[in-house]
Amino acid sequence: MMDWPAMNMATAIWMAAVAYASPMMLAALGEVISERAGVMNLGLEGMIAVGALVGYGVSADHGSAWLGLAAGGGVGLLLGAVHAALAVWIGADQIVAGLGMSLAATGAAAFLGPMWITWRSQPAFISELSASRYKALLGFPPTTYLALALGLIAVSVLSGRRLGIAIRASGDSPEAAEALGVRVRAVRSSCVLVGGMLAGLSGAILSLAYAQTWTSTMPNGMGWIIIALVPLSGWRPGRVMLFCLLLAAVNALQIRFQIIGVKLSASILDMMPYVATLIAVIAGRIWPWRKGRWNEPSALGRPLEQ
Amino acid sequence: MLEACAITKCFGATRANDAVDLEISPGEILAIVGENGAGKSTLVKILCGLLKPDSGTLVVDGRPEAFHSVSQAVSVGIAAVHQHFALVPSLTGLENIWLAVGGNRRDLVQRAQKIINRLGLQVPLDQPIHQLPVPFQQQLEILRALVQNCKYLLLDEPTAALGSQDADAVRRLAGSLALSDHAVVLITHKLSDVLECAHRVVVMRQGRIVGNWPIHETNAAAISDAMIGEISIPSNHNCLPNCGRDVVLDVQNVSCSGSAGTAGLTDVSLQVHSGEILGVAGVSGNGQEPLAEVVTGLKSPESGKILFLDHDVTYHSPARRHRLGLAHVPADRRRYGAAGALPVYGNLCLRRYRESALSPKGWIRSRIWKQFATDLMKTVSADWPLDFQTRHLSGGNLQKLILARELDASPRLLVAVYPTRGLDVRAVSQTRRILLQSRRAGGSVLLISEDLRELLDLSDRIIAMSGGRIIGSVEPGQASAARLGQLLGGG
Repeated sequence: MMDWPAMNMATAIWMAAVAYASPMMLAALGEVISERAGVMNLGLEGMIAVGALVGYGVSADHGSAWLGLAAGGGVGLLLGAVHAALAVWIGADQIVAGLGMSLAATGAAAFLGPMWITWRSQPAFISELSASRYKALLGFPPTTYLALALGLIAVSVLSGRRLGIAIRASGDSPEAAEALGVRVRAVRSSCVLVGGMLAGLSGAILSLAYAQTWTSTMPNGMGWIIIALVPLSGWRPGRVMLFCLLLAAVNALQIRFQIIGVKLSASILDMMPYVATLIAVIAGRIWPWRKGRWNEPSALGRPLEQ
Repeated sequence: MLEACAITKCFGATRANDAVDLEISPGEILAIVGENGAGKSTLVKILCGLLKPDSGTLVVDGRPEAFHSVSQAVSVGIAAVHQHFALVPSLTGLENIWLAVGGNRRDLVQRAQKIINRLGLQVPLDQPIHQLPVPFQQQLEILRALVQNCKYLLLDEPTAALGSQDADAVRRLAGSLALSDHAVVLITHKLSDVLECAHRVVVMRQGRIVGNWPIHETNAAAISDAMIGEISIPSNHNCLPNCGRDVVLDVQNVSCSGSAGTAGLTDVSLQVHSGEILGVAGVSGNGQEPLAEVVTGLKSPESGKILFLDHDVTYHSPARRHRLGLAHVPADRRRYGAAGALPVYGNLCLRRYRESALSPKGWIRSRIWKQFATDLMKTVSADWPLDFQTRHLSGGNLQKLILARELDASPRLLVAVYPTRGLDVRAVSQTRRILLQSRRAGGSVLLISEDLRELLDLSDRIIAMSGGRIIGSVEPGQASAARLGQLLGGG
């Protein structure tokens, strides 16, 4: 039944994990950036869903995978703009706005998707780089390297640049930051926009590079897992990427178990990444690093008061 | 030279500043004194660009200016250091300065370091703000203003939250700033700040300037007379001693840990007798709040025992203690004193809503509640609309509401924590009168305060706390500000 002659099981799981981790990392980085600025984006799941659909559809219509990715990112940016308008400018409750966005966007994707995408759709996909010799190290789609590069940029901006300091100040004490001359609303909106764009891009990568297909249930809870991982990682971009990789490995393992026919209900196997998230969240509450340098933005979820 | 001419600012019907004229030259330390609500803070906010005056002009170095923002004021050289520091707690000192100033990070470090060396500041630049003690945060604010080349520094109550040594350091710092040709405006209500370091003093009362003297032409008595004006503040001195021998509260060897950065309690023992006001003196953060929490039941001690009217209440809940006759006026009245979202009558009933008189068979009868609340308001001669949302009450009215509720059933002991902090003169006077009334009716008060004059005026006996311990007590008759100051200064 299985046919992976050149690869042993561990390598296969590793590769599947990295492939799944890269869209996850992008969306997670976006969430970290936006939460560091003080805005929670619970619409993540919906933004990824729409990004997956639009990326796939545009690629099918125009035959260009890269155009698909750009369209995914663009629609994410739009949804991010909606969230920024609600959460930053109007001062709406971020949780309600985010949940609304998520439910509406996943619903819209599931509803519009089947009208747009038919069995005849033939989109261009993003394929793996052919580096046959070092396949386990280098044979990933280019989007994986994009995720890693963005991660490095995020780390360096948040820790060392003045922009990063302005972002952290906006998320920590927006009033003090405003008094220091930071335009808090502008900083927060930009971060939400970037977060939305990365979520949309992540969705497009999910459908065009990882799954190479589109289903109406597409992100399948990935957005929610990410929202749990962000606090767990202490709002640090490097650590959140690591957690994404771990969770992606659990997911790959779970899929592998289903393929080789482990005698467990598929539903139980499907639960694995979510159970792993729960365990990780509990461990995060009692783990010693909670006491160390902890970056929780203290104004997370709270609009600027003036 | 910084000149303010005929500055007027109104909030609703109150004139916070009424035709205020002021001038400050470089090299000068000007103290602005006045009671709470005299308009000092409003004036500072206008000078530093936080508020726009209704009328009047500002002239800086000969040029008229109208500020629309704080950064505009900074650009012509005026910066304020407020009581609540405008610092981002999670960032380091350097990052906070960088955020305001911008430019090249390395240059900034050099400039900051130069100023630090010149003024002998001790603040580390590479530690996050939340790890720094208050004096360092203050130094950092001053440093930030200096890095931005500010010539006029407005310090709002710079010594209010400091112990005596740190306050001395701030005064010395003001001195060396004046020597290096900066103008320092010191807003304060402590006469010691004025007499020890200012060159000139301006006294404000009810939005007006009522005195403006070079320091060597005035004295403490003249300044405080000008500050207080005609309102008399009730004191205990002409009341007869009313103390009984029965011990109402007996705290025995209580220890507990403090919260973030403040002292807990170490082996604290004290007794409050019936009809007595026991004052607790000390700089805040030295164990007073844990003491109040342990006595009222908000916190459990780690060791020791608390007896209230001969019951061991060490582990009783706050509600159970209240049923025995313990009342509490908390330090943070907005957070712990009342539920801001409830109407006034709801808050007045909060202590007794469970009783069947107020809620027959468990049902809320708003008519009964409102009647009860109306009666309670009469006890403090207040007349608020019953449906008024409590969060909109002013500090003084809120404190009256809390006092009315707490003193309702003639409690045996009232724990009052900073009961007059942040109130204006009228509210201070009313609050004190209510406390004295309760004592005259036979109740005891555990009065925790930072205001030595208030403690001397009200208390029958005073104990002093430092570092979570009781470091001494002063018996009635022997108390004086000097003796207390000695105790608190460790002398």
